Amino acid sequence: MTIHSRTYPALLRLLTLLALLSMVIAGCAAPVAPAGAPAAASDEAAQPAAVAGADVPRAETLIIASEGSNVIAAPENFNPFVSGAVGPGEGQSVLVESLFYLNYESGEMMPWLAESYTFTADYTGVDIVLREGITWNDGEAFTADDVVFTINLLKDESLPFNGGADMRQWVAAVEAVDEQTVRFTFTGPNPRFLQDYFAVRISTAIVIVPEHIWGTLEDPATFTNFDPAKGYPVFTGPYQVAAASTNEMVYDRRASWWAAETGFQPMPAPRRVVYTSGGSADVVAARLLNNELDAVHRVAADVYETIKAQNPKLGAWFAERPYAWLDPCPRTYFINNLKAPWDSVNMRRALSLAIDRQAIAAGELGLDPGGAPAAFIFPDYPPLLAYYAEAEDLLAQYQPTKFDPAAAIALIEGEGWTRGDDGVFAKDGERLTITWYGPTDWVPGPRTFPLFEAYLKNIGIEPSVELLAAAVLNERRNLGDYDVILTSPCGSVVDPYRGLDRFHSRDVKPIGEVVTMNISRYVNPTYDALVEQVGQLAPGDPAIIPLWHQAFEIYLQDQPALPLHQQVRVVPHNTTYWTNWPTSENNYIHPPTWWHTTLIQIVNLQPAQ
Amino acid sequence: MSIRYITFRLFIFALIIWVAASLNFLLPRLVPGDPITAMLNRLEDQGMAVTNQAELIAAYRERFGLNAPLGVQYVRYLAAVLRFDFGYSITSFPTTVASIIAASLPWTIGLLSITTLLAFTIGIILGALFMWRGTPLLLRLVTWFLIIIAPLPYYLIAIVLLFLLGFTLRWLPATSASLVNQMSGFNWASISKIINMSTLPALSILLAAVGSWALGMRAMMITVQGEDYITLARAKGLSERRIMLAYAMRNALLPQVTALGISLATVVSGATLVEVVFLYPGIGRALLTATNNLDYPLIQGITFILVVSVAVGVLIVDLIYPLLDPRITYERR
Repeated sequence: MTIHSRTYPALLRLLTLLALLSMVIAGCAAPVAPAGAPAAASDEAAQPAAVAGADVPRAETLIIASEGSNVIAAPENFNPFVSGAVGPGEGQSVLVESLFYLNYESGEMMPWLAESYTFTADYTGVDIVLREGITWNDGEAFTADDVVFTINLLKDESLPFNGGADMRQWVAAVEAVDEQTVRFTFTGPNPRFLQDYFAVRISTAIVIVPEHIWGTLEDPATFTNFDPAKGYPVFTGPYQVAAASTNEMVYDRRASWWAAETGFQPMPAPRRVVYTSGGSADVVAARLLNNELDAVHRVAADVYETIKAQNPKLGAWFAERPYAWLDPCPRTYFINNLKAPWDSVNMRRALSLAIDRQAIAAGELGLDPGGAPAAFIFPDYPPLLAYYAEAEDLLAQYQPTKFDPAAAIALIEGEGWTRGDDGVFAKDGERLTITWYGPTDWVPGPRTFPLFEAYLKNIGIEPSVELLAAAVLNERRNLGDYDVILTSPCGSVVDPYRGLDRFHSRDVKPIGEVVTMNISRYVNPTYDALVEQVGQLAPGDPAIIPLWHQAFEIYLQDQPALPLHQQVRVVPHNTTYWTNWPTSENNYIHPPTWWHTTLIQIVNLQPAQ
Repeated sequence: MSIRYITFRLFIFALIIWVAASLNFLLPRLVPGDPITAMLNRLEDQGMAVTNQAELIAAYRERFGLNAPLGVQYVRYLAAVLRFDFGYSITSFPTTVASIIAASLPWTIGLLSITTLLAFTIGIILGALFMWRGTPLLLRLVTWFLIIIAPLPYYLIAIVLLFLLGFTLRWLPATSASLVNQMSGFNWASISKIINMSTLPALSILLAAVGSWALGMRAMMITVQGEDYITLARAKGLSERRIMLAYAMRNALLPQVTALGISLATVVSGATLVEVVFLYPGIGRALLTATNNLDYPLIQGITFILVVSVAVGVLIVDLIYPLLDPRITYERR
């Protein structure tokens, strides 16, 4: 039984009509937005600036992408003190400015909103002199009162603000001596106060907020600081929020900026800055090839090499292999010192000897060589290399980065373990097992974790190596439910104190209670005392050196953690539209595009024409 | 359809909602992991050092009522749900769950309802055309091709289309990343941008879905062709067109409409992987991120919306089905 011929034309007509309609629509839509460009150089008339603002040509737009398909969690939240808000990796860097910026390349704290500072002789206080002529984006003057207000806001115990605990710990009092001068009085000597909190030592600094807006709020914790009608968010930076969505943040240059008015800095060249989700690694690579992106937070080195061959306008920190920039957070695995059998130093040392750090580093970067092996949780920046030089004897004696599986096996046997027929050590009927954790959304994870598994099996341990979802990983890390876990501690950059302090026992608690800093749960009062002494000396003080030597020796004797290798990452940029990116040859600032220091890059970029 | 039936059906509807809401509350909390630490450690992963986290964790737990006993949390949750008040998202604090859903849900509904309806329409037409001897070979081959690729996951088709049309031929934009920010109100420019940036995601879903509808329709048409009333209609001398449209297709459509109703009801859940591949601003990605971070309020909010819409959709299908087919009745005889 079939359909008669007369019904066929009706159906076919309908089908053809649908097909034609779709083609017409697609055809009309195509010329409006050229493939991929978020701010098209377009023929269409400028649209009313309801959301995205006037169209800005591609050559005047700076597009920075993050790797991955992550959603920007709270695109309309500019409260700088809560965790979910728009952060430096999502464009906060072009809105806010810091009192100082620590320049990794020169080692100096560049004054920006502040002009100068003077510590008291015993480092129990500091006077900061602000620059003259700074105004908030709404025209009000930026004065010492705003700084005082912000610090007192942070000290408020009822508000769950980042940085609040630190201010409560260190700031006994803060006052405005005059319009431009802020006086801090500490609870104890702290020579690193400015470096830690107001100089973007790593990624961010405390953001100062305007008293005339924040002082009127009922609940600052739930204030999202976003209201285009009122011009919020109000900061001091040269850009304003033009559009915000979970995929993309668009910032347009303001008509005026205090730094340009006072002649401190030139107006930045990009009229528009876009922070966007990059997409999967392949999508990011393809977008870079098509010049749809000007900078990406990171790409794998082998991917970078491939696309650079096809698009010579791409660049990175180094022009040659390994291309990568040295990140301040060395790849480190913390061992749970409270959990048997890892409470024994020989077992911990065995773990260290079992791992070939260079192979792991190369696997992570995707290229040979990867980051250099790390003896401690310091990045290999010149000021810190100088401290290593003072401990050459210790490094020669303890050889913390040595790869020697045979020695590892000997150490384990020395602890009373015997190897069974299946190659796994056992003692009193118990097999030697280990739980080894890392994050699941971490790109190098699938490359390096199988290597760990192999190394551990090689020395007779039965490993349970897992990549876990963020919520699970963090909970286990905080509660001590692991044997070895990944954390790449960011701390010391030019001075050894922060790195050493990571193993101070002040926040150590039994397993099952939250510990977030000394993740190894390592306790050694002698070590603590030495670190505290270092903390009281100013950065660069020669008296630190002998203290450092003693503390480092204790660390090497006890080996509470496994620093593996320097973290190097390829931070690519594209010179098709913008030039004067920071590189090893042109190192006016360090290259991260996801930190507050990105503003300095943006101010220095030049159009390619 | 009697009042008794409708009342009974509504009661079942309320029961389903309650059970789903309860599971929705319980299951995320059974999974290991703590959303507060996930939120704070997010900052560490970006390189910021959050010292004294223990204090912050305690403060946030207090704020989100996570310290209360589970029973108390459950009662508060039910009360809030009835008011459609899902509170603040933990990961995006202080953004409210409602604003996150309101921002992403319309995109998902738009994309999926259009593609579902298009897939349905094209599918049933192609399926019906199979039954005519004179359908050109090309059309048959196209339909068979679509049927063959139907079992393929739509995100695989998405990736192929992405690289073919988005990067190699550059006919369409590769990502929908800037979709939301390009909207400038209800005007032709915005609409055409929506169409332009949604075509690739829509095409992926469409290509994957059409085949199933076509196959189902073809099967129903074969069944229906053998019925007595078709023979009678022919004997009465009715035109082929009338028999085809008013008798054969109308009866063949019935099971398809049920499937369509349920399909539309699940539209809200979105096509998560298509959203991930194309960076489409829909609710699938929001739920994925929420689940990864164990963001309880957001998970609860989104899942509740999904459950309610599916339940409502099925309810509507249940209630209108007797209107489509008068033979159907829910009364006991």
